[in-house]
Amino acid sequence: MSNITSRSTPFGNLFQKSLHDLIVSIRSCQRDPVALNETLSNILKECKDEVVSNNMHKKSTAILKLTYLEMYGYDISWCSFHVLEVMSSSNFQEKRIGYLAAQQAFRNDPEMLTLATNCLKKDLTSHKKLDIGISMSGVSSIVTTNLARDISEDLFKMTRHGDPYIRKKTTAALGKLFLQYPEALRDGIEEFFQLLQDPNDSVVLVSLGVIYEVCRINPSPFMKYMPFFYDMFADIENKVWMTITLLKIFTILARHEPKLKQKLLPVIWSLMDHSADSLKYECYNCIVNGNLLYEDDYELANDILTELKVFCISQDPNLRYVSCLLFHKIACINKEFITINNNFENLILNFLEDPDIIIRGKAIDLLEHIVNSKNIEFIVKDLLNSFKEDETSKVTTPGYKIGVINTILKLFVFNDYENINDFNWYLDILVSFLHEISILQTSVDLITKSTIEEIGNQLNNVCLKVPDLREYTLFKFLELITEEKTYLSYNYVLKNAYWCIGEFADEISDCESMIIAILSNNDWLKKLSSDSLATLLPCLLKLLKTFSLEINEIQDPSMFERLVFIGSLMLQFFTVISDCKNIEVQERLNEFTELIKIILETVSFAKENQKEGESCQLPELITNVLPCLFDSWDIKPIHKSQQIKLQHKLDLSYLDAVEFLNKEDRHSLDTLIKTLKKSENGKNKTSFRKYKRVYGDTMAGGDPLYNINSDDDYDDELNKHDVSNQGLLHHEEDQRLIDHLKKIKSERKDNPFYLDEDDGDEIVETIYDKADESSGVINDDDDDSKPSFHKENIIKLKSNVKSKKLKIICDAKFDSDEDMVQDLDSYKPLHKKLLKSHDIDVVGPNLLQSFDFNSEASEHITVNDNKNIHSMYEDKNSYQEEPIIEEEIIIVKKKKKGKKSSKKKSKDEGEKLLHDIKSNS
Amino acid sequence: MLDLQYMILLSKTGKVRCIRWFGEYTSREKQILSKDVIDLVLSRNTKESNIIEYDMTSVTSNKRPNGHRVMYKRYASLYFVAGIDDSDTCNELLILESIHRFVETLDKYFGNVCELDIIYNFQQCYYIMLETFSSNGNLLESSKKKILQDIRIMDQLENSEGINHILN
Repeated sequence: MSNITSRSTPFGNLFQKSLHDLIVSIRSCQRDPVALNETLSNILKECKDEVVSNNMHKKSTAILKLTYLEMYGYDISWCSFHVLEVMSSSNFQEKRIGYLAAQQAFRNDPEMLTLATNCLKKDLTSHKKLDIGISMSGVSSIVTTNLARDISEDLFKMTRHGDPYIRKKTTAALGKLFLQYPEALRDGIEEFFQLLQDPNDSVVLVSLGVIYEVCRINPSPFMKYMPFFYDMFADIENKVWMTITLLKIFTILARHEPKLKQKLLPVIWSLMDHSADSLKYECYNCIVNGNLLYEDDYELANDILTELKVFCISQDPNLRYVSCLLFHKIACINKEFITINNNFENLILNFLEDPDIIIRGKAIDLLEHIVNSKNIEFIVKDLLNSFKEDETSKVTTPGYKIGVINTILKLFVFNDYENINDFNWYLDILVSFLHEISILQTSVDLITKSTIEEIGNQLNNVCLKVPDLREYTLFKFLELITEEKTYLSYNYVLKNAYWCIGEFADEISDCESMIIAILSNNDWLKKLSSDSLATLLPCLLKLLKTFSLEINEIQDPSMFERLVFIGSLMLQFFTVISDCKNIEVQERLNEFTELIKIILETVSFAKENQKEGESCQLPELITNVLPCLFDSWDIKPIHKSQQIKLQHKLDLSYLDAVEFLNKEDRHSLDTLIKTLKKSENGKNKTSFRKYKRVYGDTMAGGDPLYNINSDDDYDDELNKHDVSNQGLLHHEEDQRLIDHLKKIKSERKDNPFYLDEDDGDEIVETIYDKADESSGVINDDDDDSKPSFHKENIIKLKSNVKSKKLKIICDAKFDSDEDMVQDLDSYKPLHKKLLKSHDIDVVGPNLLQSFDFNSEASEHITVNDNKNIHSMYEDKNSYQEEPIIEEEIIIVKKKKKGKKSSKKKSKDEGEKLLHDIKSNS
Repeated sequence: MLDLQYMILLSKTGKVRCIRWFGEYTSREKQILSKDVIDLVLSRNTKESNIIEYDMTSVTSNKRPNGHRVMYKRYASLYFVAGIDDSDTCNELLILESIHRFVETLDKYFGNVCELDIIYNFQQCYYIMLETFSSNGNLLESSKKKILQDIRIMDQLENSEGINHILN
């Protein structure tokens, strides 16, 4: 067919636009977006017609054009079938186009992948070298687990192919395959290592790359080949790429094997003489990231840093950047490395002056290591100077400035203001930051709220904790209050200002003018956030209180008038903000309006009743009642030891039992839930329920620990217990959950696998003593409402015990009641631990990560494939060779001496009762 | 050993000339990422370093590390951009070197390569990229000579097939 069509069009397809035509036509209308759009859609239409053509040449050209259009953002997944057709063409040019299109566009299309599998397999076994080559690229782009399983043997055969090109491609494909199908690596690791001895350098390089790739995810399969890798250093002298890759591998291995340090360091030092910067950098990287630099190894650190100097002062900004990165990493190991000789401080300060903003940004992070009380003023001054763009040619961006300000703020509070000598300077700088931010805000939309709030908090903190500085801080606040800028761009800071002014009103000499100053401009005040307003209201009242007490004391003759004036001023302000939508503000507003009104009334009443010649006195309400509202307690700092004492006294019982999860666990649980919600895998869902269940049990009162790794067995149980398990996934059904848990708990009372502390002993008996079984169950009749269910349960479990290899760890404990609580507590960390280890497995979609090489590779046992995959999806812990322990149960026996007799008694009673019933019937 | 996540060939006007994704991204992520990366790269001046840091938090879900670095090199009117996820073992200098290696190969292949060569022969550019970098973003071949040799063989095959096609 294709032959006929090709004969009918002997000179190609005269009427088909070639790729060249297409590009020309697109480029001709590049300036006009409308025309461009039209052209593109026209071309797309043409391609759609051409792609269904029977002429393979035409089809492939259309695919190529579509691949080009894909760069313009067009989705071409609709033509995946046509791409496949082109891929399977016998013509090399067409095949090449098909593979290119496939790799560009359909990496994650499952439908396409299943269809492509056959095509790939066919091409892999082709007799043409180049066909194999491009299909290898195809394989490495779109390998799936299923495909990997099918072709892994073929690929290994191909590693012995005569042509190095094929070997190289195969190796790359294998690397991708291992990620999907780790068994291939486990079974063929020796074979794979042959590739490292390949005569062709490219093959060796690629296989090293593959090893590195695998190591990054799971280094265990290669740990034992360390000597082999080590010897390679000598073989690959002067091959920079290989050496770097090898160093990378060792970086990872050294993290897992600290003993490598002694062997590795001399090699690395000898490599450092090399002229290639990337190799040098890799050497430093290897030392720093491979944990070869210990916290106390000052000598080595000094050596590296001295070497790094060359990078630091280099003309090449890239070298400066990477050296900055390394400085950072070294400082993270031990910050003294950098500070100890003051040698490197200047280098870092040089970074801060770098023309490249990215390097400066990195250097800012380094500041925390070198900053101290002596140089902080100097450094901050320099940084603030660098903000002024006109003086230097350096580029600064608002984002960078905010970053700098945030970092400096962190440095200020670092270790209880350790770095700050002069607090007046500190306060000035804080205020100047506010001005800086107001400038930044005008240029770009930045999120500055948190920074402003942090500044407010720091000002607040100084005011609160340092009595000597209160006056100065309040002065600064007053400055802020009287500036319009404050209200426009950083009014969040006023929240703290108002609070401090109110709280320390006693320090203010003239509260009257303060109130007037605060309320001077209603337009400004309207801009305040509701938070600030809510603190402003009590602040005003506190000022009023102090003011009235003062004038009362000095017996000011015009005090009534002044008080009335201030009161009416405040009332006027209240009406201005009366439309505030915040509930807190409204609440306070109403209260205070009434209060002020009462005060004004009493004042005018007192004024009328004032007799000539008598000393004037303000009403009781103002002199006594008002101060009582605020003056009961002073805020004072608490000494550290007192704080600790207080913490012990705190009553934490209000914390729900649910709260025992700490933040980290909660987070990991959350991510777990997220991942599981996403995954459509039913298996995962049930295992999720398991986790939930484990936590649920602890919530319900701490049953003994179950191993989370249990499998189907446990699931059966779950389903049996309750169908409404889905409820666990929903929050709104919390109550139902609790009820449900209670119910389960009562059911489990007699279930041997959920030993409850009360009757643990009995249950152990019921498991192991068959003879007692029936009587035991019936005797429990009176405690348990569902005896028949219970019986069934035990029997079923028994059969399960037989069919599956079950390992029961019996941990007998004979403790008194008091210790019990402690015991339960000690299980909690175990729960957490288990959860953490699971987190990794479930989140990582990569099979390799959770793959257990050690047990397998050493024993060389090939297990049934199905089983393998099945167990791999579950958990690495449950994946052990022999014996396969499918469920592990730890039974904690609790024996209570007192209870046992009573139990027996109840047993006897039950028997008696049963007997009675029988005889009655 | 390079762990490239993508490679973009960019004109100085911000037009994508070639783009290849090595890492797994959704199409939405690709869109945001390529747009941001283009803006970032074009905003740099020549004196600054060729490494840009980029925060991925807004782009992707939490399964990936948030740190991301963009390495770029400019050759005449073309930018060659490569991105990597932030990790302990990444070697920025090596990536810049491999970009250079790739450009040299293109240069040899086209003979003093210019932007138009790449525009009109974009598939050839991709083929060379396929030979230089493996599908997970690692270096596949460090020798320019070998890459060119392999590409030439393939091109010859294509041409001879084309001739056969006409002769038949």
